[in-house]
Amino acid sequence: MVKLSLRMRRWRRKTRRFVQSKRGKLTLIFSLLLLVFGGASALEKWVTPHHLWRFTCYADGYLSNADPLKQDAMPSDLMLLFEIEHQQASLHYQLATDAAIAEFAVLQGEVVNVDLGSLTYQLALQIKVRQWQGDSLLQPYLLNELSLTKDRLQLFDAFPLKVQILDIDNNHSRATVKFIPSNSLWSCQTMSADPHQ
Amino acid sequence: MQIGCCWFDNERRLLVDQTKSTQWQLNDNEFWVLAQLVQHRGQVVPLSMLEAVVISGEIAHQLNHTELVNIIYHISDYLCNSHNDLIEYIPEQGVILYPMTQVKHPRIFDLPNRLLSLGQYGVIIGALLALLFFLWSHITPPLLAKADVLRQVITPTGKVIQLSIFDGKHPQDALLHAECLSTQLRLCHDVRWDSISAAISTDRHYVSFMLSQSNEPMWRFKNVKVRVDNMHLPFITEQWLHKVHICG
Repeated sequence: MVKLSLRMRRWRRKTRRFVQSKRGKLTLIFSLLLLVFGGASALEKWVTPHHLWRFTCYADGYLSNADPLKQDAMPSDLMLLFEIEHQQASLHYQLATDAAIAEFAVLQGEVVNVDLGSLTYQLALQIKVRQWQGDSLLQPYLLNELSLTKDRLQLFDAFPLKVQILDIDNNHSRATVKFIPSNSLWSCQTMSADPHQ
Repeated sequence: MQIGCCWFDNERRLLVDQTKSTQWQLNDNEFWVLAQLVQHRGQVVPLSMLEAVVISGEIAHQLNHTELVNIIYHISDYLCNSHNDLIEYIPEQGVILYPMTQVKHPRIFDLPNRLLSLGQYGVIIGALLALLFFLWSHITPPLLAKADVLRQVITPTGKVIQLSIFDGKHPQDALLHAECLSTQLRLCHDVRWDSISAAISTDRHYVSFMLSQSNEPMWRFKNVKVRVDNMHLPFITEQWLHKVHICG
């Protein structure tokens, strides 16, 4: 017991002397810095909010090549269903004319990165299903919105995409979504929106 | 003789802790070392003097260095916490028993005993700057969508419409279409929307219009996507505004 007590005293004394020494103070400061670095990294990695978004967006589409001044046809109904569920993302485009679905494309993929400050989601997507008509209106629109330099979209084409949620109203019923870098904007209903309103 | 919170009884060779009411019967070596320190209190007693243990006026034996250091630490430890720095061991020099507890107010840049060298301070400041940079790079302030053109248009009925054009690539196109749209809106007698935003696509082929009406009890909004062949020419007419249900 006496030996143990002596050892304990010696250990405490050594610790005290080390803490009071230059080397000990430096070690303490660096340990503190490492703790802050580690803490910030862990916070960023683990304390991310629950990512669950479901946007329903409708647009009147005047997507034909004709000069908008001259066009007299009725607009197409363009719909976008955009979902982010944890690490999964999907975009479902649908173009209907005269109440019949003419063209559609389903894109699915993963959330690669999230910038919480700007609420920007970096996605890695792939075209899973698509249907075009002979003189497709949806395909050139998607090539623009998804910022693809190709002439046409093929099945299982993979590409990155950035989507930023610009603003959400107080009731969380409406949000503005921006596609980067195409600068395409959508005003959408969010999941919590009452469909009967 | 009082040493911190302990009383040194020279005759009975005792070190009495008055706070804990304990006492330590010192052996010859411990008594010799402590007696020398007390005798030369406030002075550095050389190690050689402490190592040569004198009993009854004669050098009885020689302490080795480890034994001496252990004795010094034991005595120092026996003193209560607030006084255990009364005894200081100066390596290769000697040992000093201070008359009273030292109150140290070191200033960090005091020479020659400053706590850290300038190099060490430089390293710490460098590390702090790196930490700040690291934190700054991970904290992105919210990016506000800045419109390239912002206008307020008053219709003939006195309704105020907020007009925003987003381009980011060719501000002159944004100005052209803002001018065109605001001119046509001023001619509209019935505008359903109180906010109209338009975003020109990067490839200059599409314009996204976002129309919203928030003054009503129920928030209404609508998207209009338009393909435009030549973005440098105005395409918005009163007829077109009626067609896309912005007017009338």
